[in-house]
Amino acid sequence: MSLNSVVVDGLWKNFRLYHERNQFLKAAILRGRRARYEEFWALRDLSFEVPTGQTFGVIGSNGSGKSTLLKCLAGILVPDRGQVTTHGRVSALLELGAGFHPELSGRENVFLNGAILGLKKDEITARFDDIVDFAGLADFIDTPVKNYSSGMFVRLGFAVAANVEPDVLLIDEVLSVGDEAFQRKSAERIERFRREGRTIVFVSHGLGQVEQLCEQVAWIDHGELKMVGPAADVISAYRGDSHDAAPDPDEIGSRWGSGEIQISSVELLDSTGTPVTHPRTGDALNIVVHLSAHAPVQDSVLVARIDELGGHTVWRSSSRRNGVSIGRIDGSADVTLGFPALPLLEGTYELTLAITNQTEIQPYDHWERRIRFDVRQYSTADNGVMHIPSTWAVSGADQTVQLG
Amino acid sequence: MTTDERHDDTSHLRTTDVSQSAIAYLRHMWARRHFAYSMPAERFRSRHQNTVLGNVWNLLNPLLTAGVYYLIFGVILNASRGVDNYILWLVIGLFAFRLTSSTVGRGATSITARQGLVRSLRFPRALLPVSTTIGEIMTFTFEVSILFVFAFATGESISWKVLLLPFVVALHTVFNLGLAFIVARLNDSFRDVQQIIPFVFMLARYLVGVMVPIDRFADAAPAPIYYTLAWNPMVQILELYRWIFMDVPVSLYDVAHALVLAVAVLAVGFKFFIGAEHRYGRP
Repeated sequence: MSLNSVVVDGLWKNFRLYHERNQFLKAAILRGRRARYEEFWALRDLSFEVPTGQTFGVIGSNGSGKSTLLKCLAGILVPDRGQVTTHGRVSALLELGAGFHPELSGRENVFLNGAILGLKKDEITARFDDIVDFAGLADFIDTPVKNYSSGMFVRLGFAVAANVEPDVLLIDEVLSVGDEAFQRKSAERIERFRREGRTIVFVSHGLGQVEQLCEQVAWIDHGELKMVGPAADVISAYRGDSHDAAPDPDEIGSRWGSGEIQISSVELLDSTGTPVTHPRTGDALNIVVHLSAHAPVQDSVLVARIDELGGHTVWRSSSRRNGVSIGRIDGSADVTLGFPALPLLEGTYELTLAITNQTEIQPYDHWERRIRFDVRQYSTADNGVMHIPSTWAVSGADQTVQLG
Repeated sequence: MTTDERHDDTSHLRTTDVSQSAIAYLRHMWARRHFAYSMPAERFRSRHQNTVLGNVWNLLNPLLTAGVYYLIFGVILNASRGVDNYILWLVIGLFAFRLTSSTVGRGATSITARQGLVRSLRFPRALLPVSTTIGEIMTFTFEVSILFVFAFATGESISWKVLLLPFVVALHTVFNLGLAFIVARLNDSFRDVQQIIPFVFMLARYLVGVMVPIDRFADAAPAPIYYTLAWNPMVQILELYRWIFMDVPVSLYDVAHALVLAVAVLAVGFKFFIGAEHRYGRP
């Protein structure tokens, strides 16, 4: 029995950010032999150990490399340098259900998923009822999963991953999956894993949750290990740091377009013009988009879209549809998209921007998921995605206060 | 933790090392072999659930194909001269060739069509082309049963040679799997590959002796071209199937030729495939 379930030793992970990927021969031939890309070190020289039986948290701002780290621990990504060693069966709660075959039924997918995780058939059979029961899908288990709702999909994915008796469980912010009842069930299951002395590595934005669950925490910043130690110490250091940190909207996602106009940078500003990293619900938010054009371009349109992280589109609009003409751009120009009172509730969102011609279809520069940002909220009255002003009134009930 | 002992050895202790040995890789595959055959089995079951005739299509499809080719090559073009029992000879060639063309065709998309799986779970990626190949053999069993009916109906006597059929299918599969590995990686890099493959096979069908015996090229084509064509192990593989069902001579040299080349294709294909193991599923 080893003391550490996970040992990360000098881990480096490199990504190639392709400007345009040559997925077809034509593109490869026209552009020369190699696709243009930039190297980007997502993880730099990380070393830490997770003692067996501990719940270990990983925190850091968006794009700091948390999810990349988790994928390296899960073995989905392979380090470019250094080593990751894990002991025992590893189960990862990430991209739940992504491996299901849409044409096959839930039952068949459970067996196939189990098989690919290395379980024997009788081992899966023994757990099958628990899995179905946990997912709450007894009535649908013989339906092809293509007919499942996204919630059912994820629930089944969670149920499989959580029922394979992992020795090491990797969790990437999936505690918010499903409805409230399912969330409670997932939280109970994770609590049970803790009691059983299994090792859990937990990546989250919810500092409160990390503080509550984890004994030790690693703080990752720009792919580097900033601090590792007892949860309370690391979290308070992180809180102190992220207050006065320079705004750093993460650049993610892919980009395409004909290039006549380019989105050179994007800023999130509050009402006083100060950059913000975590806009708050109800506050003013101005998104300033800096554009540049080598040659004059007439009548372009800025299209903006906000998506929930990994979820639905919350909002989409354009300058043209709001009656604003961008006119002629020669050199550079700024377009400001302002929300007088940001209606988004607490959560993580992604902003997609595109500068297009009048049709809104031909992009000069489309930057999918250009910025990921977290919204915080003052009041806890609302849950969900949108702040919708509401009034509440009561009639017919006895409003007197019961004493004693 | 006592649960440890129950699990298979490969999941015990794992070091994600870039230079993973082929042996360790094969061990990981073996531990997950259940996936490789149950995946195509389930697909096979569900595929024909929505058609009126259901699994009858697995028999009807090859029968109709055989009918079309017999009409054109046997009756209209009279390609049968010099071949005894041309109909059986043709059908064996068609079915065996189809096993290769469909394995390679589906093998090409075995990685690209399962991006979600590749991105979300860790497993030896070679399981995907393997499971595709197994799935095609399952379909092939229907065609083999038709071959028996044809052989019987056309007056061939079924001999002891039938016992060697599994070895011929195994040899054939070694070759097919090797090709499937190669195209799976190529198609992951360049999606055009899946578009090109049908044309390659359209041409190959004429060059490996499916409809017309390849000896005919010996007179018609220049010698270097003929010998290049005859070198293709597919030619010998088709002859081996015909040897099983008909009275066609096959030399031991031909068997060795096909065996060596098929194993070489598999070895090269496997090495080529796992060379990009960590790149599959990248956006």
